[in-house]
Amino acid sequence: MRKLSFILSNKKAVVGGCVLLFLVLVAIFAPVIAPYGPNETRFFPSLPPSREHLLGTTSLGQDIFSQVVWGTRLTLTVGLVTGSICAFISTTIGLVAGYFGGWVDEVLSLITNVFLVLPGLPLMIIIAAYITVQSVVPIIVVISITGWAWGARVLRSQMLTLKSRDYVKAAIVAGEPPLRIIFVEILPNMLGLIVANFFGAALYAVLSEAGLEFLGLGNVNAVTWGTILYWAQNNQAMLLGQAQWMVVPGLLIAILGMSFALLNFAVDEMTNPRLRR
Amino acid sequence: MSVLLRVENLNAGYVQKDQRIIAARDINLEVAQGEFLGLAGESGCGKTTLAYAITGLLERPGEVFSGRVEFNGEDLLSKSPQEMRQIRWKEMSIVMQASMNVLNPVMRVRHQFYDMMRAHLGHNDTQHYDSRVLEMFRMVGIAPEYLDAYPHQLSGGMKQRVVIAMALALRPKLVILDEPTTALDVVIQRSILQQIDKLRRELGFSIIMITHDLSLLVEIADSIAVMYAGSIVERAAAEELYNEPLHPYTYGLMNSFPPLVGRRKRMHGIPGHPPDLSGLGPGCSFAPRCPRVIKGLCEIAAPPLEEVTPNRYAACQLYRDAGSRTTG
Amino acid sequence: MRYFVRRIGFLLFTAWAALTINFILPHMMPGNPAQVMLAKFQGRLSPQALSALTEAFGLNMDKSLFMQYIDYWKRIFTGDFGISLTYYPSRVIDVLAESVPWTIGLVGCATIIAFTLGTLLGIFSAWRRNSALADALVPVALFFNSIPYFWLSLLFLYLFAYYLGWFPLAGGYNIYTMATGFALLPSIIHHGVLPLSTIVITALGGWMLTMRNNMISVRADDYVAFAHAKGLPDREIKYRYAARNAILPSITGFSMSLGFVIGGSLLTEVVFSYPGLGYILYQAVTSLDYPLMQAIFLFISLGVLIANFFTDMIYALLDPRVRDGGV
Repeated sequence: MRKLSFILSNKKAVVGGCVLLFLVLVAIFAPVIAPYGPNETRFFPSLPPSREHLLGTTSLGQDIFSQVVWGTRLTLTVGLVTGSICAFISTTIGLVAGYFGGWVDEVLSLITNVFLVLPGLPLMIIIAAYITVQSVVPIIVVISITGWAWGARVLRSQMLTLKSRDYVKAAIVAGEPPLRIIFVEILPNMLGLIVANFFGAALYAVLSEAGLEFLGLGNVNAVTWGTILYWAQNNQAMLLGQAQWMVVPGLLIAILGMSFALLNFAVDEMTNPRLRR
Repeated sequence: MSVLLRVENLNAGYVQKDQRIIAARDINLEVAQGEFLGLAGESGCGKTTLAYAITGLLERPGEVFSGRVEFNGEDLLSKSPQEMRQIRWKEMSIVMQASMNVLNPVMRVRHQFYDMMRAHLGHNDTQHYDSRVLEMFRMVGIAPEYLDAYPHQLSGGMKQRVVIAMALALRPKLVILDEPTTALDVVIQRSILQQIDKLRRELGFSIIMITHDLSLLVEIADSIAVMYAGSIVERAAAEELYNEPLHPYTYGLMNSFPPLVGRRKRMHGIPGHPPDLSGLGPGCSFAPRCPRVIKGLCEIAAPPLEEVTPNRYAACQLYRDAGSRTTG
Repeated sequence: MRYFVRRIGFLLFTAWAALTINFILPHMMPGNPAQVMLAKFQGRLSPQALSALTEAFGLNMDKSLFMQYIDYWKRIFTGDFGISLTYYPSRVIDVLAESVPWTIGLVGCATIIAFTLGTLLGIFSAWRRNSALADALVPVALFFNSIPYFWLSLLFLYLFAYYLGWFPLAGGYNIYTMATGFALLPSIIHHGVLPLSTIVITALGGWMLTMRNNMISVRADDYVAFAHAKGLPDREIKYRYAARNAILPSITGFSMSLGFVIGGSLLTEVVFSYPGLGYILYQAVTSLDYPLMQAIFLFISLGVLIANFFTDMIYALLDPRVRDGGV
């Protein structure tokens, strides 16, 4: 209970959490909320917003509002799944490198640093250009490959700090097995950082996904906010006076991204005593 | 000797959720020119809050609630932050706890001296600065070549000496030393303190030294004030305090360390812990731990700090005559 | 010195890794990119060009992988990246030579402006903490930091270039002018304003937040409290003591997020048809111009790595502890 009220006392966490929760609900209840199917093309093309079509229709005669609602599903999935994968990889690598030190650390840190400085998006673009993307899976994989390194570095240095704490030293002296120390003794004390790192990675994933799909490197037939933007751009939405086709999905990406960023920032604030108050 | 610093009925502490937590309660102190006053007490007893209140360094949520601080005949609490900034370091300086980390890690020692001198001397004559700094270096025993060192190139003891040199460089009238040597080993600790004491005799400044180590104080201080749970419980000349501690808490502290001279005896220490400052009752705050507690009295009435014998003050029911007990 | 050697070592290692990844990628991909490409350009290119292409792309199946790898290095050192298919018959190296300066100029200026501005705002926001304006900057920065680069670019393009007509719709300079050299500068600036401001706006927030958090951490450090005790002027404490130390982690962050900024800038270039690497990369990707793609990735990686190396050197200039081989 105290933890809950602590979280609720942070405005950023509350706002970020509510926005995310809202979007998750939209994704779950997409079939109920959306008046039409995302790919139904039976409407008159390029209609302006109206009662029947809240955001108008595309040049192909699809209902934009329905597309946006359905698009929440895949967009959120990519963000959350990729965030989880990145958080998992970076936690494992960061903790192992920081705990064991020595050559294990040298090797893992080197790999981490290489991935950190390799430019992510260009690499993704190249990979996505080689493979023919038929689902969001390759997108998730490609973003995960380039997105884990930052977190690994942060968690590694946190591990180094925690490792020198007395309770960890005591556990080492007491002869507890390393994996137990890492996951039972230390991990709970890093949860905040790991959660913050998850949201950071999710933000990165959502923005990268949008970028790739905008370039037409995703599966352009899947309905995500990124692909809606792709079609809007390719059909000159703005020039044809269909600004909402372009503005709404982009704004939603920014809002989703912001909810991740708020949560990331809030968790950071709550777990770092110096940032409190 | 004239009085340099006079603290009257000072109350200072912290505001937490609109609640005042008084960390230094009804403090009355006097420091004469050239005097070495020791302020002793366990950690968390309000020593540092008191030092910060005197120097005007208490920042939100810290606050001085009431009282008066008179320094060199001037009322410090009515001064603006700007005026305090001028007084601080030129008139009084403070060597803080954790002085291992008080030097800016990315600046040469020389420039950290320059910054301080420029702020207070109002000119930018680096030659004059240099000669002053080197003079201070000689006094505290640091080789001149360390002037251009970065802090990480200095050992702990050297850093400490640099900070002390900085504190003395503008010839202040009062130097406050807040646990100045806790991070150092005993031998270096002692040599630095002896050096400071020697400089005090030469230059004539006053010292307030805050420490939890009463044994150190009885050796070098002129007079000692003992703090417990935010209040001063005993004040006396160092020698008298050492020979005959009045307050049971002082007595307990004295017995926490072996005597420097004479026969070894059993050490006692004080059982229990200092109380939480946010939940003090009406009685004497030491009562729960006191071996000589008077049941039915000490828990109810907090004794004020009173003169027991000439120039000896204690805040304890044991030394109050029957008359003042009923009125107090 | 030890630091310098270590950084050089790291630079060489990462460069090797990037180049090797660049070599391995086409080999790892399902299907045979060379075949796809050949099929696509059959008939459009001369047989000589085709075989040169296969060779240049390092997908000559008659040779062992190792020999191909050796050849690949040879070609890198001779600057022979083959012929571009999109810009046929231009050599890849020439296409790159034309577009690289644009990207360096755009990304370089944008990054410097965003970093400086963001850092200053971060200092302000941390120092004036708990004041309404300073605290309001945080959610604003978080929002701008979450905007997709290309989307903001599109909005700016339509609003300022198309609708208001203040700025040109595309390109890096006015191609119809006879001016050359410095006389082109006004036109270049005019074309650069919009792409530059979208990058600055989206990148600014990140720097601000980083610096703000660093500043808040550093404020609690003992040397800042001591500077205060010494009676130094507030301004001096703010910049010479707090900010001077707080910027160190920001600089580490700078080199780390450079790759991300470049990624975003590539998309911005695409939207504004800005003649830099991003735009060319987009052209290459859409027309499956693998040699050009490969070379662009190589150049971007090397650019980021070198920029990183310089950041490390600046870091060492600013932090004496690192110079001495410490932390």
